[in-house]
Amino acid sequence: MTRPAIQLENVSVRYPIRKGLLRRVVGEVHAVEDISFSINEGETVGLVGESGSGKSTTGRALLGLSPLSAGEVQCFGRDLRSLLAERGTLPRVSQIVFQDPYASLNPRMTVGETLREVLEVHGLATGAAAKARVNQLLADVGLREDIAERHPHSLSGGQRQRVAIARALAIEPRFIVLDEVVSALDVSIQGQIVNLLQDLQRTRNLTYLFITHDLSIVSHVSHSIVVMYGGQIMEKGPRRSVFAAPLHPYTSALLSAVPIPDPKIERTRPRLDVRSEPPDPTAPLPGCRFQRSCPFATQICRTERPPLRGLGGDTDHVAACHRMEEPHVREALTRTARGALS
Amino acid sequence: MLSFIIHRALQIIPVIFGVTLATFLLAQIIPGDPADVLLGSMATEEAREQLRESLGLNEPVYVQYAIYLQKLVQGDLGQSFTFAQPVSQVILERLSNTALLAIAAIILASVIGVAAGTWAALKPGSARDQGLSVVVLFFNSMPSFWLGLVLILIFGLHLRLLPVGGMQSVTGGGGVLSLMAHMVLPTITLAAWSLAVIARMTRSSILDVINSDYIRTARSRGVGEARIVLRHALPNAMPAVITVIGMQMGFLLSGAVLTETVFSWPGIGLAMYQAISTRDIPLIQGGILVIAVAFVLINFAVDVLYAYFNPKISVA
Amino acid sequence: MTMVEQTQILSPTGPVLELRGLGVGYGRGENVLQVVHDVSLSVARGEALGIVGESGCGKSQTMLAALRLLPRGGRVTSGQVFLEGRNLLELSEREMRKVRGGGIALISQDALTALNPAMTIGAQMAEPMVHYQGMTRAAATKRCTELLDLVGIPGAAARLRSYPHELSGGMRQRALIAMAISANPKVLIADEPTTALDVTTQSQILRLIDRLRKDLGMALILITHDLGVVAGVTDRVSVLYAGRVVETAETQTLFESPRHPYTKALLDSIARLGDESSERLRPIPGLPPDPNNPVPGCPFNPRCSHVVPLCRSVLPELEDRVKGGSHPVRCHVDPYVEPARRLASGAAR
Repeated sequence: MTRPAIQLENVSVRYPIRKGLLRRVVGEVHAVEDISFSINEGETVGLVGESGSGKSTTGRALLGLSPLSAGEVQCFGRDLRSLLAERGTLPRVSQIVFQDPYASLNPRMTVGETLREVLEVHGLATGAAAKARVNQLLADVGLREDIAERHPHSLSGGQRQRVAIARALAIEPRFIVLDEVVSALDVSIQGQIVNLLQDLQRTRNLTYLFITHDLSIVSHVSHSIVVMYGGQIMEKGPRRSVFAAPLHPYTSALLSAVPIPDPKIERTRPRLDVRSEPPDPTAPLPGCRFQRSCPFATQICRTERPPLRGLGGDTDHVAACHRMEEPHVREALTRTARGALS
Repeated sequence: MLSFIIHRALQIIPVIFGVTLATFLLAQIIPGDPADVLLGSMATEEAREQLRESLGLNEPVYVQYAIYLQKLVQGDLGQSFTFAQPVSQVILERLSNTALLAIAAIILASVIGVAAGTWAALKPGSARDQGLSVVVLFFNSMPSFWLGLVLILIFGLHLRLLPVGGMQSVTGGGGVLSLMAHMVLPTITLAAWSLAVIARMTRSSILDVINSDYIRTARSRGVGEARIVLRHALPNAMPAVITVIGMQMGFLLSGAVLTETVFSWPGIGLAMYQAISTRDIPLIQGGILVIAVAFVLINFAVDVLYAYFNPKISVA
Repeated sequence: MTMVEQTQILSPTGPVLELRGLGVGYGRGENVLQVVHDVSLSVARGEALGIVGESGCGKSQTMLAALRLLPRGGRVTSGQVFLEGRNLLELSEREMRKVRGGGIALISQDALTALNPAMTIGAQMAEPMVHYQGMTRAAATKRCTELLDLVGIPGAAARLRSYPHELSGGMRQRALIAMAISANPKVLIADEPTTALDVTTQSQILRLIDRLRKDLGMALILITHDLGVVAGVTDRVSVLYAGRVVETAETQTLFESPRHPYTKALLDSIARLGDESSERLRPIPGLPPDPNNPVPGCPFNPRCSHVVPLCRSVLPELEDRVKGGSHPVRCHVDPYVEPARRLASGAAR
């Protein structure tokens, strides 16, 4: 049994809220609350959620870009906090690629300069060796050498995103956080980036955390899925079983809402309607985070936070729902999921 | 909103302290012995020593600063030997005159500047826009004393339409009309530079705003151009313009020195000019202090006004 | 030209909005940047038309041109826009202002930037009512409250006093929809109404728009890049590429039997929920079209897998060469239709 590459245990990220004349801390924003999951080496975990779910914060926390208020993160067997304390070690292990290909590249530097900078800052190569390495990186992401002379604004969105990936690969990381990396691209070329990422994963045994709100893409890329809502995990498990037989109403609601490009299916499939009332991250209610939107919420949901558990003792596919064993709930969720998948 | 105001007010306090320190040090670094200046070169060493003692000039610097602050709080800004009056009295008598001119100038500059800037922004690149650029460049470049003298030449001497100086007629009973007549030329002179800056800022701010999505939404619902400009574009362009207007108030206070001198307008500016000529250090100090504090308070008022126009700022 | 004459008479059976050969460009003289070359489409009363395309296809520009709301520097370079038979491009600005809102209404993409941040929701919503439709403030407030209820915003009275940044994304979009339908338009144009929203909100907003247009009898033009959105709401779809319509068909037909290679490639490139992760996605190779560097011949030829030499030199016409068809396509090759169904034509093959 190999130890997972990345492991989160009871991780929380909270930000202080300051108000008043003296800027006193009056409360906290619970961006991420007590989440635990792991990513096996060479695999992809799809982290799914809508705005306010805490998914981006989680991704950033794994790189030390958001402060951990509680819990532990293990990266390839080492504690994240001690990795961060040791400067220069963390970046060799992990990297991140962001959503906006327009904002994440310095517009005043050419592509070549951007990539060379990474190599030089980390003492990986200089001069002619750096130039050769830059060309190799460009080739690895499917770009021609002459792209090195160009500035970001003259490249298309897809090309820019490839450059961002090349930059992430420059230091030969083992783990990459991909935060909505294809969301800003045209649908017809999203596949170019996704295929590239999958090829790179296969050839270099890379580990990915793929953060997105797009269930169709995540379904393609991930081995397992983690569904977040209001800073907490609602459901997690192998991709196939989470999407084919979701245990949590929220997962089902997400599946229900995805527009399916097939008129017959789209107009006749059963849907799970939820009231979209996003939870207040500064004043979390007791009980389940999803209570205000859930069509199945009852008394217990408003008082006790449901633990993550599986059906019949299953530990691979778990969800945080008090009512998940009830037959009519299960039936409604499965029906909606099947409607989306057929 | 209230906590925002209080917060900003608290932030002003250290600024004002800094201002008093700066004006205090100003007097310290000016070469020359005040005793010499006050008594003249014929006085005896004893007399000078006595004066230094009474002025506290032999104490260490920080003690002198403390004395200075103490006197400030009591309203004692020292004695002006040019006017043979306490400095505070000199300033008080003339403050309202300067304020009158400055307020008139800022109103003129704001109203015409905003109107002209908006008018030009609605057709960028057109003849009227380019015309405005030329006018702006002109007003930005001319020194105010040159403009003042030219206006006096044209309207005062050649056309004999307006008085050439002073605040009231020497002959005749005075009155509001006479005051207004006397105000026209100095106000224009004082306002000219600010008008150019405000017009330019308004123009660019309106251009920023006029292509916004919400303008398009309003147009798509059939709202007419006039309302678009007045009710949608201008209020959203104003925050940036107001900041500039606030800054201009400060410049107007200092610009008053030249304008008041040219027009012999009896305000603080003219008094400062006279004080500088006679090296009347207490008056110089007092004048700078009052102007600087006024500047800080005006900027505070501008911040509050900005927050009023932009609801997001006061809540943040 | 009988068809043309017919549509110029106000006809209850004709299309309520029709664009013919519309072209939009920026700049003048030598340096015109053509963003829309030739778009012809129509929508009938109560019908929902989807306009599908990706970046650079000109779908938003087309609709802005129809409303004569192009940003500075843009102008209509060719074509006509008919609303119930009236050519909108010939109207004076004053007459056009009456058409906007009451004839054609627009819902923009990003509700946060589409609402005036310095005005309350109520003030913005009531503005045309009070100032251009002669309603009293009280009557306008009542109507606004009704509209907010209609779009499912609870606590309408309080909401009217709120500023846009105080509302959630979904509620802002609903407010924007309420504003659009306030003058009972005949045509509602929704430009990517769900792109800036969460998935669960998207679904609700789409269904709201669908329900409203059916209840109020409006024609709907839905502009989007998302084929799933189109599948759920529209009756017919026009696909745009590089500023031209390349295919128009009934929705079901478009998905089942697309004819243009771009449409087919687009459908094939989408990731779908049930896919196996072992399957590679099939993106369209190459880059999206660049309006600054138009390609000779068919704009899709650099990326098309069915390209023949003719495609590189001659721009195909938008026509339907299949017997009995109402499914125009802009393609020389028309590769997915059996040759037997094709009408004999004189065009070189």
